[in-house]
Amino acid sequence: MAIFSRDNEQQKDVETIIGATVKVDGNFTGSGDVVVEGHVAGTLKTSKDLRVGEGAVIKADIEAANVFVAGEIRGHVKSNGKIELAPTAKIIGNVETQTIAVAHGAILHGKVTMAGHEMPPEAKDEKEK
Amino acid sequence: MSNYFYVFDSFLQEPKYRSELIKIETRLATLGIHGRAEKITILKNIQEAVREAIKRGTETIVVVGNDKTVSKILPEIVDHQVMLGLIPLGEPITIATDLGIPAGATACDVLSRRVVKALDLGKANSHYFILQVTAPAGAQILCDGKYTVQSLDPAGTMVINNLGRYDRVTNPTDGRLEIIVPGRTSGRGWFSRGSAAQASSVFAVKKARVTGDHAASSLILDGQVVVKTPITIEAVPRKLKIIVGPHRSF
Repeated sequence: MAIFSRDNEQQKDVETIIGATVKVDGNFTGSGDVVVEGHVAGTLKTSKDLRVGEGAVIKADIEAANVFVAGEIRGHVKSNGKIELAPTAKIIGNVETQTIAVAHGAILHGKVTMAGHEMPPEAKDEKEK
Repeated sequence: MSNYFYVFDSFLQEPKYRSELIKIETRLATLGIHGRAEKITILKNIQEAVREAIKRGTETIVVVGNDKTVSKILPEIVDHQVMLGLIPLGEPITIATDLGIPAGATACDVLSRRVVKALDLGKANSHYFILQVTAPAGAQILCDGKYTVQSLDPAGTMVINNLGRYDRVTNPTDGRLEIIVPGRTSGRGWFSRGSAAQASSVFAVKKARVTGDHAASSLILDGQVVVKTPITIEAVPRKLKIIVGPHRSF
């Protein structure tokens, strides 16, 4: 997951970079790695990886293969792989993923669903009681 | 063997180019790729010379001059089955540099090797461009009809790139254009913390609609042609066959 690293050379292969000086509105769909450092509103989908930088503000539902979050997201986040929340991350919305890593200090307000991991029957029973 | 037509731009009549022109003519003869040549003067414009060459059935048109020369003949050749070759002289020669073609007589060797690529072109309304379009501050771009991009920097221009290095290399053979919005300040690195480093934004698109914050803002194509907004810009895949060098940027 090259996009999760801070290596500048690797970032040159990123297809879309939404920098801090840019505002994107609407339904963004990409087929390559995406880096967001600026403002996004609407929906954001890519079949590859997404990195949400520390200063980023996203008001959108998100779908990506793997997601690294250091900024703010207001919307649902769906990943087919891994979601990693940095200490500065803030997500207000539901999260659906196979694997999640949450750093100390990260904020997550929403339901977390671990796709591919069925809830055990006893847990379901407890919930029904 | 392909027949060549060489067109020399009018500014090459200046004495400072005389010795390089002699070297070019000698090298073309040595390599056996010389052909009919036209030196543009006040009496004949370059577009007319190229049109006549196409009518005569010329297969390869070689432009001797700079980026402006290429821009001038581009509308004449895009809709015809001719190949374009470049011998860059003068400034700027960004197109040739990105295509890996050295300036002056050395370019004749690149012509002789005849490595041909089909390049995408950009089309802004009815105007073709090779390099880029510069959109003014305050412009808004609708990308592929799905989302809009706007710079938050009131003085920030945006560039729609087909070929060249604007922060990073754009591939002119992928059927897409790159919208590049420069960061407000140049920094130590794109992802380092602090205000010194702000990333340029990059979006790959097939089609873009540019509107300005004024009734008719101006866009500049390849540094020359000015077109008023609103304007539709699209990538036209593999539109131009051109002879390229080994050290091209893509």
